[in-house]
Amino acid sequence: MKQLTTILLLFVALAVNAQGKKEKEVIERSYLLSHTVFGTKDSLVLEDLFAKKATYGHSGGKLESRQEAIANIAHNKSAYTDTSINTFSTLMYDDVAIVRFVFKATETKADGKTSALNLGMILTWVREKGKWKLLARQAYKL
Amino acid sequence: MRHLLTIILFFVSIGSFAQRNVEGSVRDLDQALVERDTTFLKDLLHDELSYGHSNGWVETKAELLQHLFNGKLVYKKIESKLLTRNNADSVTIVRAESNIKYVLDGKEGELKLLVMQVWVLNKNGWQLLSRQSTKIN
Repeated sequence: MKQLTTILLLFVALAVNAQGKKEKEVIERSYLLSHTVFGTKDSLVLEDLFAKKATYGHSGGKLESRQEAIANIAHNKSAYTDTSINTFSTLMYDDVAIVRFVFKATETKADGKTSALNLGMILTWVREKGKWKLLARQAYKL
Repeated sequence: MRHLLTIILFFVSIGSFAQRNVEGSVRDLDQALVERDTTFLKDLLHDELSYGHSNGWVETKAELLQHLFNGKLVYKKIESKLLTRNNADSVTIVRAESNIKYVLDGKEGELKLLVMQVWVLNKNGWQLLSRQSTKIN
C-alpha cells in the first residue's frame, strides 16, 4: 500500500512537472517573440515561432497573415529602446496557452522621430510537433 | 435495416453537432450580449475567460456577467463580419470586424473594432476562452 502511494505520488509529481515545464517553455517563447519582433527581427526565428496558420493583429486594427507579418517585421526600420515587459500572465488549457502582458518601449522611426509605446498583448500558443507555436497575436493600445 | 439507418443517422447528427461551426457560437455570443442573456452566456463563456476591451480593460467571466446584469456596460448593437477562422486541434481563432453601439456608465458610444476570439471545444460545445479587441484606425 505504501509502495502504491509512493508510485502514485511519483506520477502526480511527474505530471505536475511536465505541465510546469510546458508553462516555462511558453514563457520563454513569448519573451523570444518579443525580443525578435522589437529587436533582432530575425525572420528565421520568426519562421520557427509562428504556427502554420498564424494571424497577427496590430494595435491599430491591421490584421496580417503569417507571411505578411514575418515580412513586415523583418523589414521594419524602427528601433526600439527602453523595452520592458510586465504584468505577465499565462493560462494553460491542455495544449493551448494564452499569454497576456504589457509591453513598453521607445520607438525611433527611420526618420528619427521617437514615440512612446504602451501596448497590451495577447498571444495564443499551440503545440506543433512538441514545440509551442504562435497561432494568434493581438496588440492593443493602453 | 431501417433500424440500422436510424442508428447511423443518430450518430451522424451527434457528430455534426459536435463539429458545429464555431460561426454559430460567434453569432450566439453577439446576440446573448445584446439581449443580456446571462443564462446562455454562462454556457458560452469558459470559466477561465479573459475578456479584453479596446480601452485596455480586461474582465473575468464573473465581472462580464455582473457588468451586464447591473447595467454598467450595455450593448445596444453588435454587428460582426467574420474575417478569418483558424483552428488547431481543439482551439479556433476567430477574427472579426465589429461595429458596436454601447452604453458605458450611462454614456452612449460607438466603436469599430478588430476582434480576436479564442474558442475551445469541450463536451458542452464551443466556449469562449479569451477575447481581445482593438480600435480600427
